[in-house]
Amino acid sequence: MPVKILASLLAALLLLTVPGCNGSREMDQLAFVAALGLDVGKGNALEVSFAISNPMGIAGGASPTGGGGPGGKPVLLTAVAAPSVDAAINLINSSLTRRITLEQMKAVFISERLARKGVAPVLVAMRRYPEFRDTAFVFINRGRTSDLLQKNKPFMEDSPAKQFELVMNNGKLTGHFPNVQIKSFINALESHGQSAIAPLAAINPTVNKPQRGGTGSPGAGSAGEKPYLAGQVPRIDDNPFEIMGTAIFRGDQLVGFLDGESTRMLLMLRGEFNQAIFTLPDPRVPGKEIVLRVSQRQKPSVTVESSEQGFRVKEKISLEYDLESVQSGQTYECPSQSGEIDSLVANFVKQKASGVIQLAQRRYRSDILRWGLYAAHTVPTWDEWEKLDWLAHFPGASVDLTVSAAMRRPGMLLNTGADLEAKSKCLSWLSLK
Amino acid sequence: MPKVLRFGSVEAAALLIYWNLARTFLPFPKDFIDIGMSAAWLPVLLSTATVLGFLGLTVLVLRHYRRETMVEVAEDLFGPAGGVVTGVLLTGMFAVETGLILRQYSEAMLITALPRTTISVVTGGFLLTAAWVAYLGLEPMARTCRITLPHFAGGILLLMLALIPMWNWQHLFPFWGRGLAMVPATLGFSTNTSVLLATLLLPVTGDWRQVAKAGLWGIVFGYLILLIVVVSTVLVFTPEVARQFSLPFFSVSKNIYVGRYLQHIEAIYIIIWGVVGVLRLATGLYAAAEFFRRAFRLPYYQPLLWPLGVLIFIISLIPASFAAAYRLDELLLRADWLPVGVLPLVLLAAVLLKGRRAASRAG
Amino acid sequence: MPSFLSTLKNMLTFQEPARSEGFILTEDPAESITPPGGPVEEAPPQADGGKAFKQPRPLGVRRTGPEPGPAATDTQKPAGNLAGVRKQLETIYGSPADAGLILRDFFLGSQPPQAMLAVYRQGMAGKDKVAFVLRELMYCEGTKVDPAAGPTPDYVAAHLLPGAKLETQADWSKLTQHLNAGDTVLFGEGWTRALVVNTAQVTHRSLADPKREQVIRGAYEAFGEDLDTNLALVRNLLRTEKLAAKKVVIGSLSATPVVMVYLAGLASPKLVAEVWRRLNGIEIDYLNDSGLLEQLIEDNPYSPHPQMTATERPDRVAALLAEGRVAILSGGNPHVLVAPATLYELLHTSEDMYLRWPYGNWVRLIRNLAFYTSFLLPGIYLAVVLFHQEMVPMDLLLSLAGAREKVPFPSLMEVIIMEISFELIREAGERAPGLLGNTIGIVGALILGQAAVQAAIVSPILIIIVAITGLANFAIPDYSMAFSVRILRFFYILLGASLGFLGIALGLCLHMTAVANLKSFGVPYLAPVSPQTVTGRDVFWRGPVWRMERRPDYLGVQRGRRQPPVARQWDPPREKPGR
Repeated sequence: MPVKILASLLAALLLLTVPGCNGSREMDQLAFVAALGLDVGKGNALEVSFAISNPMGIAGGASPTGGGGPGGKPVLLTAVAAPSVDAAINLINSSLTRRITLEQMKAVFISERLARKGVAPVLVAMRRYPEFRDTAFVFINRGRTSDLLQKNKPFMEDSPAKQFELVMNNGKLTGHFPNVQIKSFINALESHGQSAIAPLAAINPTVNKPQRGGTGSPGAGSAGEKPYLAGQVPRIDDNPFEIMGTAIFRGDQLVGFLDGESTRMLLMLRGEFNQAIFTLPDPRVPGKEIVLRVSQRQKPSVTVESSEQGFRVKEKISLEYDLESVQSGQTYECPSQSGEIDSLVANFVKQKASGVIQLAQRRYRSDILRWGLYAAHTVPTWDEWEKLDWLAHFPGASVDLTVSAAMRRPGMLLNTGADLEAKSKCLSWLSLK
Repeated sequence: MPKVLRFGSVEAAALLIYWNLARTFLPFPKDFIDIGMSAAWLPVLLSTATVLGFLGLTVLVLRHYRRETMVEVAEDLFGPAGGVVTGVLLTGMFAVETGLILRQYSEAMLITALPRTTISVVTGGFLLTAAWVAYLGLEPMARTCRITLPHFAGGILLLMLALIPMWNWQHLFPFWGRGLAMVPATLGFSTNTSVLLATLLLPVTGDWRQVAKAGLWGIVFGYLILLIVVVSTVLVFTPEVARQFSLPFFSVSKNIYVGRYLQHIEAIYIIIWGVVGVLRLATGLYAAAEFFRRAFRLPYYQPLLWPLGVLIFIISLIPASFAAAYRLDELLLRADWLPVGVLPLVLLAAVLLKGRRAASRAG
Repeated sequence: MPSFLSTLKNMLTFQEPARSEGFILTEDPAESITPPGGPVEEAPPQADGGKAFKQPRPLGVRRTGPEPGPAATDTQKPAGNLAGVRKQLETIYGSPADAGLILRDFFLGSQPPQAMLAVYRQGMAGKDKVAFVLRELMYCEGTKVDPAAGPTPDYVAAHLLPGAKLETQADWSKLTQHLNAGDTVLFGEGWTRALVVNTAQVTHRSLADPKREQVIRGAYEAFGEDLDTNLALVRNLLRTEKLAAKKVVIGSLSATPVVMVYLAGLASPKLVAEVWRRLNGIEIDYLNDSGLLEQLIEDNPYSPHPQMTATERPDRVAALLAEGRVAILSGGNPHVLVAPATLYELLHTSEDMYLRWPYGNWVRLIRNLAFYTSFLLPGIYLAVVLFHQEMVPMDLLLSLAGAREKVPFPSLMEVIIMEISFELIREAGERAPGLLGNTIGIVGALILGQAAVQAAIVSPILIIIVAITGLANFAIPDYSMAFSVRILRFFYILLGASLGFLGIALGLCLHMTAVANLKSFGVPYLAPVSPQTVTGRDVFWRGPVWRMERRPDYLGVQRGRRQPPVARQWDPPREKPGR
C-alpha cells in the first residue's frame, strides 16, 4: 500500500518536471550575451547591440583533435531602433532561435553620444531587471558602439567575455583606466557626494598600418608618457580595441575626458591606484631616464573642514616605488641617495594631481575625487547633508595636497654605478680608496 | 493522547532565530535603511531593545504560571471566554502573518530564481512542505533548525567576508542618519511575534527561565544578522541606492566577486532562503494551530493544519502584487502592538490585581 | 487488502496515533551522571493522569519453541521403556528415517549391562563425536552399579560420560529442540529422563575476511554463520564477567537461536528490557537472517534510513557494546545487529579509531562529503544547469552549451538515463560471478559511458557527475545507508529539475525534518547533535583516543566515564584533564 502512495507521489512530482510547466530552460535554448552596447539610434530611440558568445565555436566537444581554435566567431546582433533595452531584447528575440539572457554579461558599452545626452534613463531603469548583473564592467566608447563590438577581435581568447574580464585585471597593473563596475557607477550617479567616472574604450584606426617613427617618441625632458586617449595609442596589433583614459560625468551626463596619464593621478587621489610604471628624467644626468614601479599601499587620508569661507580639503597621498631601471647607472639605491628620487616622484605626482584637481573643479565642476563622502563627516544628520548640496560647493573648495614617496625595493641590483665616490657614500664602512 | 514534547533551550533558541531570520531575506531591511539612511544600524538596535522589552513583559506574566501559554493565562484570569478570545486573536494574527510572509517569499523566489514558474506552484510547494513539516511536530522542526543553523550562519559569514573589499566606511556618514526622527518611525514597527511564539515553547522546555533564555538568544541573534545585512548593504552601496532595493540581501549577495571564478554564487543563498522560509512557515502554521487548539481545549493540533493551510493559502493570494503584500506586512507589524504589547500588559495588570486582592483577603 | 481510496482517505484525514509514542529512552533520575545543565525536571503528570509513555501491551503466551506436534507432547516425558520411546519418536517425527534420525541401540558396558538407545540427526551430529560418546559408554567395563536400580542418568552423566556439555532433560519439546539442532539424546531402559550430549557439528564456512567492511589498519576477522563461534569472537574481545548473553529461540519452523548481548551494569536496563521485549514479541515461522530480524524489531520499517547497525566485524560490535549498546546475534548469518543507532554511527568505520588522529579525521571528512555528494550532486547539477546558469563560470558554460548542442534529450532525461544505467551496471556486477563481475563493472562503466558520449546520447560532463555520485555512494560504510541515499537521490533529481534550488531546499527541509523525527530504540536519530547531549567526542570528528572519556549520554548508560581524565599516565604534561 505505501508503494502505491509513493508511486502516486512520484508521478505527481514527475508531472512538475515536464518542461513548459515550470520555468526551466535548457542551455541550448539560451544565447549568452557577453557584452551589451548602447548607442543613440534613429530619432530618440536607442541602438542596442548584443555580443553573444558562440558555443559551437568554443566548445571542443567530443572530438579531441578538431575544433581547438576559435572555429565560430562570436556573434554580434544589433537592434537599430528600440525605445529601451528590454524592447530591444524583445525585438531581437523574435528573430533569434534562442532566448537572449544577460546572466553572463561582462561588459556594458555606452557610446559617447548617448552619454552626453544622459545615461540615467537607460542604466538606472535596467537595474530593475533581475538578470542585470551589478558586477559587469561599464565602458564609455568613442564612436559607434556596434562598430566597436564588431571590430573587436580578441586573438588570445576564445570569447569576448573572458577578454573583458582579463583586460580589467590588466588595468590594475597599468593604472591607465579605472576599474568601474555597474554597482560603483550607479552608486556614484545616485550619490550626493560624488560623481561618476568610467573607462574609455575605442577602436584604434591606425593599428594595422605600419608606423614610421616620430609620432611616438617621448619628448625629452618631459614626463616620458604622452597623454593618450583611447584610440590614440601607437601600436601595431591585430586587435584594434583598446582602453585608455577616463570619462567624467556630471550628474548623469558625460562632460569630459582624462587621458591615461591623468587617470593615474585620479586613481591615486581616489585611493584606487594599484601600481604603474613611471618614466621620469634622471635628476643627475640630463637626457637619461629612470623607470620606477609606483604603487599606493595606503589609502590617502582626506579630511574636509567647513568654515565660513567654504570648504577646505586636505589630502595626503603616500606612495611607494621600486626601482626598475636606471639608464644612467647612478647609484640611487642607498638610503642616502634615494631621497632624490623620492622628492622627484612626489613633486611629479603632486604637479600632475593638482592639474587633475584643477580640471575637476574648474573645468568639469564634478567631484570625481569623492571628497563628498568625507564632507559628510561635517554634518550630523542626513537632512542637513541633503540641504548642504556638496556638489555645488565642490568647485569652490580650497585644496591642500601633500604627496610623499618612499623607495622600497631596488630589484636585483644593489651596488651599481661606476662612480666610486657615490658608492662609498653608500657603504661608508668600506674604504674603497 | 498527544505526545509529550521535550527539547532543550538550544533547539528552542534555534527555532526562534529562524523565526526572526525569515524577514531578513524579504524587503524588511529596506525599511531600516529608509528610516536611518547612513545610520541604518541605529533603528536596528532600537528595534532590538524594544523587542527585548516586550519579551521581558511577557516573561513577567509567565513567571506566575509554570506550564501554560497566554491562552491558559487569559483563561485563568478572565474565564473561558477570555481564553477563547485570546486564542482566536492569536490564531488570526499568526495566520495572517504567515500568509503574508508566504506571499512575499513566493514572490521573492519568482523574482530571483524562477521567473517563469507560476506562483501557485511555488506557493503550493512551500505550503505543502511546511504543512508536512508542521505535521511531524515541533520537536523535529526545532531539531532541523538546530542542525542547519551553523551552516547558514557560516554562509552568511562567508557573504560578509567576501564583500569586505567593497566596503566603504565613508558611507556611514553623516553619522546620526536622520536624527531623532528615527525613533518614532522605528517604534511603530518594532514588534516581533517571536515573543508570543516563545510562550508556546513553555510547556515544552518546562521552565520559564529556559523560555526567557531561548527568547533572548533568538531575538539577539536574529537581529544581529539583520544588523549585519543592513550595515553591509549600506557599506557596499550608498544609502541612496540601498534604500531602493526590493530584496536587499539578494542584491548584496549578487555582488560577490572574488576573482574570476567565485562570482555569481548568490544562487546558493536560495537554498538558505528556502529552508529558513519553510521552517518559518511551518512554525507559523504550527503556532496558529496550537493556539486554536488551546483556546478550545482540543486534544490534537494536527487536524487543524489542513484548514489553516488552505486559509493561509487564500490569505497569501489576496494582495494584488508584491509591493501590496509588503505594504500589508508593514501594516501588520504596526497592528501587532495589540497582541505583542497590549495583551501581556493587560494580563500582567490582571495578575497583579488578583495577587493584591488575594493578599488583602488573606491579610 | 484495503483499497486505494480508503488509504488516500486515511492519508488525508488525521488518524489518532494508535500508541502514544512508543518507547523513549529517557533518563533515569537514579543514574549517576547528571546532564551538563543540572538535573532535568521531570514533567509533572498530565491532567488525565497518563504516564509519560504508555505501558507496553501485554503479550500473549509466548511459545519459545517449535510448533507442537500432534497430541500434547509439550510436557510428556520420555516413556520408561525403549519401545515406548520409539513409539513417541514416531509420533513426533512421523517416520524417523524420513526425518533423518538415526536410532542406535547399544548396551552400556556396566555390570549388568543397560539397554540404551542413542538418537541423533544424520548430518548434523558429528560422526566422530557420536562415536566417541558411544565408545565411552560401551567400553566402560568394570563399573559396578547397583543391580537393582541400574545406572541412573545422573550416575552415567557424572561418572561415565566425558562429553563436554551434558544435560538431563525430561521434556519432549526440549528434547526435540536438541535433536533438531544436532545433539545426541540417550534414552535408557527404565529411565524417565534422557541425557543430551552436545555433538552438533554442521559444516560451516570457515572464517574469512569481511566482505564489505574492509580495513587496512585493523583485524581482518569477520563473523561466520555459526552463532556460537560468533559469540565466542565477541567474548574474545570483551573478556569481562559483565558481558551477558540472553538467548531466545525465534521461528516456529526454523527455531533460530537469537542471542541478545550487552554489558550488565553498563547498558541502560530500560534499553535492554525494550530490546528483550521486542525480540520476544515476534511471531514468525521462518527466520534465517538478521535482515529479517532487523525489519521485525525496528521502530519504523517504512523509513528509508536504517535504524540499526548491521556489521560483520567483531571489533565493531565490541566497541559499540563498550559504549553501552545492545547487540543481537542470530544464527545462520554473519551480520550482527546493534541497537540503538544514530545517523552519525552509520557513517563510522572501525578504522577511523585505529588510525592516528589526523588521518582518522581526514577520512571522516572525506566520507561525510561523500555522503552528501551521493544524493545531492545530480540534483544540484540539474538545478544549476536548468535554472541557475549564471553560477557556472563562462568558459565552462560555453563548453557545456556546446556539448549540449548535439544531445537530443533534455537534461533531466539524460540524467535519469545515466543513473538508471549505472544502477543496472551495479546490479549486473553483483549478480555476475567472480571475475566476470569485475569485468562487467569496468566494461559497463567505461565503455558504455564513452560510447554514449561519442554517440552524443549524453553530454560528457554527465558521465563525470554520475561516476562521482556512484563512487561517493560506495564510500558510505553502511550498506543499508548507502541504499537509502541511492533511492533518495532520485527524489532530489526530480525536485532539482522542477523547481531548481528551491526544490532542493524544500527537499532538504522535508528530509531533515523526517530524519529528525526518526527514533531508533527510543534514541533520537540525530543525537547527540540534536538534542544536544554530552557526546563521546566521536560524532562527526573523532577526538583523540586519550580524550574519549565519556560514553554517549543519549544511551542512558549507568556509568558515564570510561577512562580517567589522564589516559596516557606516562605523559602527564601533555595531558590536560578533559571535561
